[in-house]
Amino acid sequence: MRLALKFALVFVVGMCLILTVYANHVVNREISLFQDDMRSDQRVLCQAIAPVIQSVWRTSGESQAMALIDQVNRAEHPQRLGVRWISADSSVSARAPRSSAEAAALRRGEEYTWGDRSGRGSGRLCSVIPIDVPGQGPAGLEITESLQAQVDYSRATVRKTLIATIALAVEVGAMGLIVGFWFVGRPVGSLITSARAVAAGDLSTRLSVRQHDEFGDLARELNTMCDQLAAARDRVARETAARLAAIEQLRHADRLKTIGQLASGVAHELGTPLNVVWAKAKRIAGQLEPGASADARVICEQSERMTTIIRNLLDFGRPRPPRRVRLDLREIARRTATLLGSMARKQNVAIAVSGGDTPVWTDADPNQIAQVLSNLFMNGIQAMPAGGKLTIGFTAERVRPPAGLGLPEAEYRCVFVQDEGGGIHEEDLGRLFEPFFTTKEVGQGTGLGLSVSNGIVREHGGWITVTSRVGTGSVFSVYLPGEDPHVGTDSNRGDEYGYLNEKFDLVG
Amino acid sequence: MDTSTRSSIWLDEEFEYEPQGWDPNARHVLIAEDDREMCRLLADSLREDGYEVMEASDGQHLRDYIDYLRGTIVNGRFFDVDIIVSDIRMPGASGLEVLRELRRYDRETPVILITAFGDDQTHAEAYRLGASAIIDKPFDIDGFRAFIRQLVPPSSDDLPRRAY
Repeated sequence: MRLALKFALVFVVGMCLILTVYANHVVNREISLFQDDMRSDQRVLCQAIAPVIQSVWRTSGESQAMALIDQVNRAEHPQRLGVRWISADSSVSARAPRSSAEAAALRRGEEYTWGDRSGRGSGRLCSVIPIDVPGQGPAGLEITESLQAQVDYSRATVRKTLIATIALAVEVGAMGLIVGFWFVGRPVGSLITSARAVAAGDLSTRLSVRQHDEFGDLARELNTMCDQLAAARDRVARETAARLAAIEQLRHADRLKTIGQLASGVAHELGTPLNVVWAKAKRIAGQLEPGASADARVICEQSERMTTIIRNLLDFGRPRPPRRVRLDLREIARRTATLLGSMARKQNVAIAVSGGDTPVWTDADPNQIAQVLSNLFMNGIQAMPAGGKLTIGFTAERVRPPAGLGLPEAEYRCVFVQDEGGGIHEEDLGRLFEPFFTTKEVGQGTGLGLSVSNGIVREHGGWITVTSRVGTGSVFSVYLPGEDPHVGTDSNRGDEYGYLNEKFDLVG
Repeated sequence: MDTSTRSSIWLDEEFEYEPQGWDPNARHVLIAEDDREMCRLLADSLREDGYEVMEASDGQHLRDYIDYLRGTIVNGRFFDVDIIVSDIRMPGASGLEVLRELRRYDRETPVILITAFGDDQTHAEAYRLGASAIIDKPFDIDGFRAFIRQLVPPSSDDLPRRAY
């Protein structure tokens, strides 16, 4: 609205100025034309009358000439036009020149015109023409004409101009207001509203200015700008979230590393005393009578269990790089199943390893894979306290790994371990491979088994997936890369650790 | 077990290289372990199996033993010891360092290292320096005894008898 007022004001003032100047110029020109006309009219009149008066004066004498002049006067209204005989040297006031200039012109024998503003009214235009008449000295005719008409005319013109100016001013002002409001004020108003909304954070407002002019363009560009701002804000929000997640992950990894170091340190310290406890318990078991001997044997078993826990803790703190050999996953699975056979039987669990006749080759560390399978088998067995069937199967096919692991689509071998246990709740599924996370009772496990297994599998370039339904059971699938076709099948290398560990079972 | 035949080197006990009752025909084992109970456990177990056992309580004492044994080298091996069992982390000197040193004089006597720090690097280093085996603690004591028996039987007609 203020803008429209400014427009209106500017238009009106400009227009008034122009009109005033123009009117002034016109009026002045008219006046001068007017006066020129009057002047030449008077001269013409004088020149027309002069010879007549001269002739009359010569033939009939002065009084006849004066009478003629009176006659001319009577024909005209005296206020408007008057003719007078002027004599420069006359002492009669009716014949005296009005001014010294007039007298001087008469004496010079020149025509003279002047304006006389003295007296009442609007002034007069006077002309004097010297007429040579015998016996009069410098004399002539003086014509006086009122300027009233001129004044009236200019007054009328001014009045008309004023009216026109006011009318135009009003109209232009109104138009300016309307145009200013409709084409500028209103779109700008909506732009202001939108800008306020954007400043307050709402980037979803859209301007609907549909004019096909600069404001329409501006509105469209502002809408585009809002879109980009919104996109940029989303991008920043996403990047911030990603960065925060990465930082959290780093912190988590750092925490894990610290815990790992702590755990390793504790495990190291416990190794020697545990060795002594275990050995002494073994000795006692052989020396006592059956009741106490059984207790001593429990000490042995628990010591072995503690040894396993310590091994797991040490592995967790320090993952070993795999020493790969070409192996058949079926063999490892069957060997592990045999090792756990007695434990499974005690819990009424039947282990079924299906595999068909085709070997499932992969290049992997046999001890580590055995450790993984052992962990999964034990979990499966422990998930079925009332007994059930543990099914182990194999697949070999081209698979696309899950996103985010950085692994290529390629040939993979899969060992899946299926149990008929209680299943895993959905909220726990995401945390299964977290170190120290366990759904078992306190004392039943360290919560490191799956974490270590996952670490081993990832080191081999594979991954583990879990599907589970509460009440039905779970399936753990271990994916490992297929064998490298360029490497030979020299699978009998084995390693010294394997040799030692197998033969002498030094780790219990 | 007759404790007077023990030869233990602890700070508060006398150091004897040749105590009375030493059986010259038995196989000798030198054990170096800074944990007292662990050392006793290993030593007592091997004595039960018929070995003569010398105990060292830390790296420096082990070194002292090796110095003594250097004086007994015959045909490129220590004459007075048949197996050496040593912890790796001990005060005084690391088991690995002592192994490196003794291998300059004796490349035949089996050396078994035991450790609570079982990382791959240590294992590889031990074999590289000439250990016959490296065992992670905790281990099964019976398996250990079986291993020692398999490595060097408590008494054997193949190895030269010592003449004292």
